[in-house]
Amino acid sequence: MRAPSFGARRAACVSLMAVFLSVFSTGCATRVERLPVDEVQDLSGAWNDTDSRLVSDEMIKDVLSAPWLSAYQGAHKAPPALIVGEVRNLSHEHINTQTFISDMGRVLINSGKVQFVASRGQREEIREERKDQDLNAREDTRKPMGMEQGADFMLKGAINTIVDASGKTQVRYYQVDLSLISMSDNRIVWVGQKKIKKLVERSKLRF
Amino acid sequence: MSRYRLPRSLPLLYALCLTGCAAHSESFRAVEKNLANQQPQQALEALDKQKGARADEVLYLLNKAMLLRIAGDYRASIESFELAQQRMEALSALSLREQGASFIINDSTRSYVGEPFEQVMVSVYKALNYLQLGDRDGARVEALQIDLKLRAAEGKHLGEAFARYLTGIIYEDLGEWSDAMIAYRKAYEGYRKSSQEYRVDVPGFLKEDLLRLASILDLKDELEKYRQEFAVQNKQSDPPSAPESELIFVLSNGLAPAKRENSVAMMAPSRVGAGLVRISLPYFESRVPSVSKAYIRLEDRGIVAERVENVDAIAIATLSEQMPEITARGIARVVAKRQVAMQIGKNNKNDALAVIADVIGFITERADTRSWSTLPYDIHLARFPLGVGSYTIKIELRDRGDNIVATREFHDVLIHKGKKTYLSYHWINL
Repeated sequence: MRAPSFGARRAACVSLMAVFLSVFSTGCATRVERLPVDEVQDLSGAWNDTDSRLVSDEMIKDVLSAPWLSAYQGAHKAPPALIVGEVRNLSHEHINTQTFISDMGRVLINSGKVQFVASRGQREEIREERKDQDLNAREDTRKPMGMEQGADFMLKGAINTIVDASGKTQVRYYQVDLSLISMSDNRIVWVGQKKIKKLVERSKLRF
Repeated sequence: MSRYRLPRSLPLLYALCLTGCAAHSESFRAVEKNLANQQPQQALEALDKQKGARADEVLYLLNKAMLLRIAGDYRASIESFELAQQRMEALSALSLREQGASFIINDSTRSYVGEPFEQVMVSVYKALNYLQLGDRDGARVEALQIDLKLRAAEGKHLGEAFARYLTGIIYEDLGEWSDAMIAYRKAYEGYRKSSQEYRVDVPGFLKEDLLRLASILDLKDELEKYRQEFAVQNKQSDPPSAPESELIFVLSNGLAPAKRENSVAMMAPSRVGAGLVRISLPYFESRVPSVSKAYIRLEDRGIVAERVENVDAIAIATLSEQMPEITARGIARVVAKRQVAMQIGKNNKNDALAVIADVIGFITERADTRSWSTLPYDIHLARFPLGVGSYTIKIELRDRGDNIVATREFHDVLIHKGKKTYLSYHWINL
């Protein structure tokens, strides 16, 4: 067998390197693809943006059509003021409950049918600012203390889960309960509920 | 032709040597030394320097989380644990490629997924991190995770007793009495089953918890049963009432055993082709800490922490359960490597190549000495009922002869009304 010529070898070497380079360069670059926010992308089976959106959509529809709102408006001729209390995460996952709460808040405020007052944490900051105004702001722009609007209802809730697992298969059941409680007499005027059920099957093999 | 092949195979030889040559537990000593000198930051730097193969990623994340915890950065520790947990889940699927590599090179080529008890410990320490940060709901999530893991895990050495006990404390802190009772019951069951093997008795605190909750939940028969089992003398006396608020102190003591390697070189019998072969198997080396007791002192009051988990014994029991399989794999690998070497020699009619293949086989035959060694040797816990206020808590660590080995003071420990305050400390001295 005749040994390949030097030139042929070099050509083979160069082409091999080119293949390597192209493989590596595609492998290394970060690829970003923008997705529509309402597209469903389930990766791990854990709570994700889609679940959060489904919950807020359902709750918003429900809370605005429930009779408590018309009853309040009939009696007071003004939209009720709401405050967001604690939404407890009693599930088996670390879930950020802020996303659907702020989603709900946005739609509810923009509907003009209800008002929201700042939550406890936000109030502290605003009071600090008002105190500062008292010292430093011009008389005619200064906001007095003790003029805050009190809330009529508090929105509270919890996320619960039940997980049933066998081997690599899991059924995850999420239940989100929200309730609206009257600040004046502790009456619960509305209860919203959203249930989500998922079947998660993990791969048995990987590379 | 064969004259060309020798140099070309050299890079391959070199690469194979690299994967096989450094045993994990040996290279980890620098990190442990920093820890023993109470320098967690330096330990973190040393750990980052040896962030090695992708197969060891889970181990790196677990150790990092533990070091961050020791350094007092609980948020970052939670993040690192979270990443480790995600990787563990992703790696739970079987990789044929890694299985194949473990059969021809060594077991360290497989991705480290953590022993079942280590996977439970991830949630235990994550929960302790959340408690330390005052995030009870966060800790509750981990309590549910512990339950899921214990239900799903195969194998019997899981450290179930303490994991259940901790979940009970979390539920009780949240006022969820019935969940707390169920967890305490399972913890009691776990301690009773394993007390002989792990040399950990049912903690006295747990006995008090069972009596208290059985009374709160009005479980008369169960209360009577516990009274008899715990030999409570005065049957008429009320069981201990729920403390207004209390301090829960958790001592992580020392370091978990280190996996070391035991190698035997021998002549292979002629049936598999005579030649020098090596078989390497892992074993655990316990690192018994000098501290065996912790006293929690507050002015003239004092309380002794009880041993609630013997991580050392659980790790050793886990390995000994796996030894038959590891040994069988090791022997199969030796035979396979011999066959490959002989085949290479035969196909190329070149004994030098066969010798090289033999040498590669010999060098790469290393035991898998990876284990989560920044876990403690054992864990001690104390429950100290305290009124609302700010305290200076003194911890005295003592050895078997009751001599003080070290003391540590925690200032401005705040106790809130109706709540538990958590304090943890990891003491390491090699």
